[in-house]
Amino acid sequence: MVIIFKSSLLVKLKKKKSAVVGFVIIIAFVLAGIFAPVISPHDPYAVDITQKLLKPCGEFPLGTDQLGRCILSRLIYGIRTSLTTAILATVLMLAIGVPLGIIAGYVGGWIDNVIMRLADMASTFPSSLLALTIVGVLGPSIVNIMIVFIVLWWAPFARITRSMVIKLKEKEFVMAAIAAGSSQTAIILRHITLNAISPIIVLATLRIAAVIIHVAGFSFIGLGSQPPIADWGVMLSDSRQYLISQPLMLLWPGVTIMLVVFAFNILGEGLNAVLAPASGYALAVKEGDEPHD
Amino acid sequence: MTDQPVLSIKNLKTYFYLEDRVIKAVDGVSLDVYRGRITAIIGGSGSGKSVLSLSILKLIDNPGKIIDGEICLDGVNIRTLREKQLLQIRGNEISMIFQEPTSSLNPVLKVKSHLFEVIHTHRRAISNQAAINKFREVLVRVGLKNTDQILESYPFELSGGMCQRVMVAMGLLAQSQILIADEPTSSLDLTTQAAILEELMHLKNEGMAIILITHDLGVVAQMADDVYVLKDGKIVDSGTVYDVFASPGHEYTKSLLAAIF
Amino acid sequence: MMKMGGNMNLLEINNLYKCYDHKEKPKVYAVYNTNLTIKRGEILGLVGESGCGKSTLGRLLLKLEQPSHGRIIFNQQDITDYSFNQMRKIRSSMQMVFQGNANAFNPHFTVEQIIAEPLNNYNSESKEQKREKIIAMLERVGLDQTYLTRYGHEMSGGQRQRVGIARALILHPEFVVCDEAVSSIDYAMKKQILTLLTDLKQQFGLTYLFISHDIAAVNKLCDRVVVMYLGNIVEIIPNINENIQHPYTTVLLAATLIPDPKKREKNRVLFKDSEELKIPERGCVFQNRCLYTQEVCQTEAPALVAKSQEHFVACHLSSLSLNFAEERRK
Repeated sequence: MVIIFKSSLLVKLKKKKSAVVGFVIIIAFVLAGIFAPVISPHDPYAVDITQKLLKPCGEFPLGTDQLGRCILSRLIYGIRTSLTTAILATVLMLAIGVPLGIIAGYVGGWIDNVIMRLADMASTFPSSLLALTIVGVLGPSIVNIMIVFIVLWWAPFARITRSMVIKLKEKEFVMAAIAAGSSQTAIILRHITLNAISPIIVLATLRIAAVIIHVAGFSFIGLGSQPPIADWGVMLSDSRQYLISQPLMLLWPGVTIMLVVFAFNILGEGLNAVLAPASGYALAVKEGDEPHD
Repeated sequence: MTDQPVLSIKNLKTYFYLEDRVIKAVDGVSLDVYRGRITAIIGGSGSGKSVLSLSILKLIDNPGKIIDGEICLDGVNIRTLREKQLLQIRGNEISMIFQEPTSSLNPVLKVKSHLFEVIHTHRRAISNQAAINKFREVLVRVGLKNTDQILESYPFELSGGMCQRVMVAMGLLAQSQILIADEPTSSLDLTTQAAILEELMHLKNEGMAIILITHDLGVVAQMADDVYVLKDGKIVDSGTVYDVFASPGHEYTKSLLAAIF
Repeated sequence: MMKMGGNMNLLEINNLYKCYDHKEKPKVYAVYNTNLTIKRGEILGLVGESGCGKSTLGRLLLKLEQPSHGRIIFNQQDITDYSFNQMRKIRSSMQMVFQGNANAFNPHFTVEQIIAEPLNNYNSESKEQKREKIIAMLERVGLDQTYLTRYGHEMSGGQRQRVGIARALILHPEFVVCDEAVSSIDYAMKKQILTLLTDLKQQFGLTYLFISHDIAAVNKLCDRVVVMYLGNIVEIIPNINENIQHPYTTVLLAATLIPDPKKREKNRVLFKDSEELKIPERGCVFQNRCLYTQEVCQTEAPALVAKSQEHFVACHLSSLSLNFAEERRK
């Protein structure tokens, strides 16, 4: 059934041009990341001081950095770090936030209160402060930065799930399912969660983009990925010193981050438009009642 | 009926141009509306009755378009009027009440503000106190006795029936000649429906022309003077209410009446 | 026809209350001290206006909502305190038909999935056997198997109504609550659905609670009619006709529009208009809108009194007017 749902989703998405563009860009990035060893022209970690700070040329399409490493190759390998961290972090946020939201919305009462107050704390806690604390204790690494975001950013997922569940559990079809003798699990999964999933998908898409930007930011200030790892934030950080002499070095990772974030955002917006609840109903209203026979 | 019709529609066509097809929502409708009479337009869902009522006020947006016909209000074809002149007609000459009364009032404005808006858009020079007195008068006329409280209420504090009365009061305040009531009681309770219909009857007896758009044959039988039956954007049957109910001229009308028990 | 003794009543409710706890001080009662029995094989109508608690009562009977107070006895079992899982065991014998709007169906479900849901919960037949049953039931309600793959929002109100009926009847329940099953559909469709409900009742030996605000439909279909006002039962009568005695029933009947221009009524408004709809603290529920309110109505709540074997009224006036009638006869 999930497959049916997804394929019909893709069919609908086709009508939304901008979303298709976003989808294509993301797929391109993912493929490039998977086949990085095949398509990157050089080893991203191969240092060659004699070739440092080159302008784009035949051998190095985007030039080289201060250690003579191929920028294009590093960008392509950077996809692996950026996208895996972003997607993994978002999946874990979903894994925490969605069940908590379902419990809060379905059970209600003091459990709801406890979960939502936790969510309030998570959303009001300054992320940079937590990041500094965790990095201070555990040392700088991309995994620690991921932990920071998972700890803080499950809250919006819990909140949106909870509000959907509260709205849905009052619907007649949920009552009809109870009357039909379905079990609580079936009601929660097939009737409530299935219908709550659209806004969650939209939010997740937008969150992936946000995680990419923030992780790059933390790597930039030295709290995330550490050199020599091929990471977009690290590359940005490296290029600071050569801003005047080699501005392109700064431009490439910047443009890459922008492109992938943009792609996720327009895909998210497209999904939002396609998944809007009224899409089916408007049609039914227009076609009117059946003829009298 | 020696009277001139206050509103006369001739061969009105409103089409909706969608990507892959054209929907002929109103397809050559002609009808006359007289003062002091209730003209009912009967149709099932999808018959184009709501598009027809919106066409009368030229409230049709893209992809819809009025492509042909005349809408003559007191002899003036309002299809040829500019937007500015139309504003004078909407609300001033013709007012409208809808099926969902609570959603046709702005939830953040008090009833008072809605009524002031009517006065302001029609640029009547009138003092605030005089205006309030006028409001009280129209509210009492539509059966809202507790005027002070109502004027200070927000729409969500009022019941559906009360909101519908406020809508009617706005029409009275604008001194409209024509009231278009689009399913005015479909979302209301039986008793509220009875009360609202009684108010409409009063207005009719005071000389207002009322266009009653509904699918409810009970409302039509009890209220209407003239009846038009709309199907697929076309008028298939028309006449006085007694004629149409006693000897329906079209199969569709017959099937509607046959279903009554 | 009638079976012996206690077996006659399929469902019985005693002193049932449903109260919604809002923060405000006066509690809001959707159902207030209600007693009712539903006989096996009858169609019981339940009329009243929106907010009178008729839908809540229907849901209470099926334990889709939990009563605040009182007992519900179904088939000689007190089901009031049954847990969710205990209820699951008997839900196959009690079903509900919802209003035919798109909300009654999961938007991601096809008609086949919709009707299969109750079947899957109580039936371990193979998929093909179930599909056969579903198709047979669809045909029974006047739809064919091309509808199997449709979604709720792809159908008209009348078609959805039929699917809802098919879903409720696929398990052959004993008791069916129809909540506004013929509202929001036009006359032709209404007549068909009512005929269908009557046919199915005869075929499967069903008992219905038919909740509606449509007096004409209720009169056509039901053996007995219960009139509710603000959570209270005000009158129980075999048919809503001239014999009605409660002022509120009179109001409802007068407000019903007869689709015949020759029978135009002068006085349709037989009540005090635009009064607040709240249960008064003391006395009769209808006192604020009643045209005949007496002193006694403001102090004492009238009990539901038998006028004849099948006719009960909760009104002080009815006993008074009966006295007048008797005096006049003398």
